[in-house]
Amino acid sequence: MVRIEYEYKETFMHRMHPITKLVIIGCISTVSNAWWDLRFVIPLFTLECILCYLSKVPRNWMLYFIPLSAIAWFLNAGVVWATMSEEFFLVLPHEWVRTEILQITPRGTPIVGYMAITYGTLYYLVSSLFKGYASFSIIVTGTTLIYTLNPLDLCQVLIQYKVPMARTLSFMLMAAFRFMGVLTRSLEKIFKSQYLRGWTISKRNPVKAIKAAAPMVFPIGREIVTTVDKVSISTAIRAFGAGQPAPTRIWNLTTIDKIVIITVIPLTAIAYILASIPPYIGMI
Amino acid sequence: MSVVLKSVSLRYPGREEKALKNVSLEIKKGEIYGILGPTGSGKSSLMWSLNGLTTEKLHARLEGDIIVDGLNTKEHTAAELAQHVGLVLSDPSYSIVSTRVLDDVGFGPSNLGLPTEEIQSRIYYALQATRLSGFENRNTNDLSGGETQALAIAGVLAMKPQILVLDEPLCLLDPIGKYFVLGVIKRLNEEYGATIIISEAGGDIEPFAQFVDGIALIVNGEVKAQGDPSEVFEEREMLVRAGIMSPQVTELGWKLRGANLVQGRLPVTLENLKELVSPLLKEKVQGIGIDRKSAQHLKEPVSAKNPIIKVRNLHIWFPGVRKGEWIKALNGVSFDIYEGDFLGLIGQNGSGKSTLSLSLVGLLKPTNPDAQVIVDGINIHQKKTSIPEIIKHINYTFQNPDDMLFTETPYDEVSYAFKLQGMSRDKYLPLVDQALKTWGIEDIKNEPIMNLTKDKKTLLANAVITSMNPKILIIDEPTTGLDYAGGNKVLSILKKINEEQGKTIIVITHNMKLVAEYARHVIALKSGEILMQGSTREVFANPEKLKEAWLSPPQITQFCQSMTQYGFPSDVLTIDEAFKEVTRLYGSN
Repeated sequence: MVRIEYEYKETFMHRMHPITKLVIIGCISTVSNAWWDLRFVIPLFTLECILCYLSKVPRNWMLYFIPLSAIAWFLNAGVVWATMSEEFFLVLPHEWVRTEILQITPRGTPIVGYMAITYGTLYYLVSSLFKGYASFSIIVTGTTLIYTLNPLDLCQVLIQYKVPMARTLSFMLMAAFRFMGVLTRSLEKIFKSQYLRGWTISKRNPVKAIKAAAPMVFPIGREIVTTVDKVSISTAIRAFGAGQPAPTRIWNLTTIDKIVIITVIPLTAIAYILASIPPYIGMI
Repeated sequence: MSVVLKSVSLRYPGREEKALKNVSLEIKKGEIYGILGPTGSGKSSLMWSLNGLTTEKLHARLEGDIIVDGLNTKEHTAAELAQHVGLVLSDPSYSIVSTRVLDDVGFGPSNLGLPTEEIQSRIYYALQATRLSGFENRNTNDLSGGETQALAIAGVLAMKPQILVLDEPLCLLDPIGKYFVLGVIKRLNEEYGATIIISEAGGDIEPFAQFVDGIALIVNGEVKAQGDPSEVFEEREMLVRAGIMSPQVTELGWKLRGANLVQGRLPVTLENLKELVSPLLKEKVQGIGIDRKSAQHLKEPVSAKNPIIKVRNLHIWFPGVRKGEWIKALNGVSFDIYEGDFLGLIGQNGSGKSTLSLSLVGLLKPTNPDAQVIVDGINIHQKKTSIPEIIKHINYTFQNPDDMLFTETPYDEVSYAFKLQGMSRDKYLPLVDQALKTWGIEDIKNEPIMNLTKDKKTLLANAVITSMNPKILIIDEPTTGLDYAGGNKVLSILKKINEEQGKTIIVITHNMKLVAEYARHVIALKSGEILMQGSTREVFANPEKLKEAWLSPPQITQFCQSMTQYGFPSDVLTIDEAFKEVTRLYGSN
């Protein structure tokens, strides 16, 4: 079973300070999602792929994420293209954008309103085919972050900097990561155990389907209660709440970390500003 | 004194009977002390009370005083007491809080607010003491059973408690894994002077008895006997009444004493028994040169019938997290199981026993298309073979009965499968009654399941599966969490089903004593491959090979294997057989 989670590896991304990793991935994602012009987008996406590759993110993760992102992109493009207004376009002339090719619903239609295919919406659809990369960009940057940043390290940094509620956040993350795994394995066993009694939920009648779910619902409910118990007991025997907690490791920013942070943040800000004001660099 | 209990009684909310009744105990600093008792006797209540968990988390009412490391538990929170009393629970999943070994071990010291350098030093001290150095960045979900238990110990050890309390730490481990964990604990005691308190329900009585300095026998919440292991095992009647069997060597000692062959203290370890028996045999056997005979005549194997399960070249691989990496849960396994057999499926933690069983019932598909799994004439992994079809021929009972049980009463639970099949009440009623009767739970058929003890739930889960009348039954760890009497009861019923109804039984277990007593054949797995297969005698007669899979024969077999110079066969399986051998050899000239 493929687990989508952090794994310790000897790569430059893994070795970086947790804050630096967040800054790199956060900045790249921000710019990547702002830009539409392929001349800008393609080099940035290439950079993301290189980072992902160098971080040794397992390629089989993509088998899970690519179909999901394709669906997300399709839904977005499919719904938006026929309903969008001319205000979306910053560079293309609005008169051309609103020229109607085919009316779908007339103005004043209840709930859905006016829907039509225009030159603008058609152009958006074509662009969004290219812009589909944005979903993949999120995957590439997201998986790189998941694979290289241990959330517990981030929590340690927050505790180190005495960020309010850092300990609670740390505990919640630890418990979630650990006990979700425990719970998932238990649920798998419950499913298998009920299958072997001839249980199935393929009922067309929803009332019967709810009734048929009982063999799953009760053991799952019991398992959740047990898991809550486990969290409570395991933390008590490990002195949680005995005093002011301390970080288990001190994280210091290295020279490389500092250079990366100082460079990447201003560059992102500049790119974002240039994309937001005329002549809208990186936009269509 | 490290731990003092003064007239301690404990009552849980909503329960009439007290879990502990007027318990008084004194445990010295640096001692390794055992709490022995059957399931439900109050052992865990006692252990959990030592760091205040029963009162703080389970809201129990405590009478009397518990003093640990000079602190009265009534005056301190569980979190405060955790610095003095480290508690390791029988299920390590209750003890581990993080997904990374380093963070898990550091969690306790971090909560104590220690300086970061001190936390780091304690993490490495705990990892070293538990032989987990090098595991710092490993995912806690990837550890084996023994490693997980060792990590649970490391987690509490990093808080440097003076007292380490271990609640049945051995029950989930393979035979050699048990000795690995006990070795870790022994080292802590010897090198760091920690007081160790360890509980046991009887399933692992042999390593337990070998390990502890003193024992308190607790039955129905009361301390019935105290003393060194030999003294406590003298209370045989009481132990039998409580459903606890003494170590096999002690049982043999009893029999020899009863036959007036030996005198003196009861043996508790293998060495004790050898010291007791060797002079006896030296005197009689020396120089005679008895031919080594097999004990085969003592237990006849069943004649082989047709193979009811035929597995050929079965590979089940799971993708690893790295490119091209595969976890080979089963790697080219081939074997036959014969109709009417009683088979023990053994192997170290993670050897592929459960994967193999799930594949036999169609819940896991082979990785290779040419794999063959034929069960009772049907090809399990053919596309058209459905689970409802498969379970008419073979079924599987999971280790934890709570994964299955969901109705209000045992009667409803057993009826459920028949209702699913659309059978009328008149037709299924006798079948339900029969199943409940077979498993000896007909008297509780209308009691709420939530009030049943673990052993009753185990019997019920088995009743549910057997009521569906499959020809082959696979039972996964039927004795986990049960005392000796409970485990023996489950196996006795399975034996009866095997003999009277001709069902083929496959039992997955770490309990080698029960395998030796009940199984006719054994398959031993190691890292997804078959290490050994054959009759139980053949398999247990080869301890060196078994060791490769972290397994060892039962203690009584080990005893006979260490006495072959006196003419003992190396394939003795039970105490009765060993007794016959001693008397045979003693009277042979």
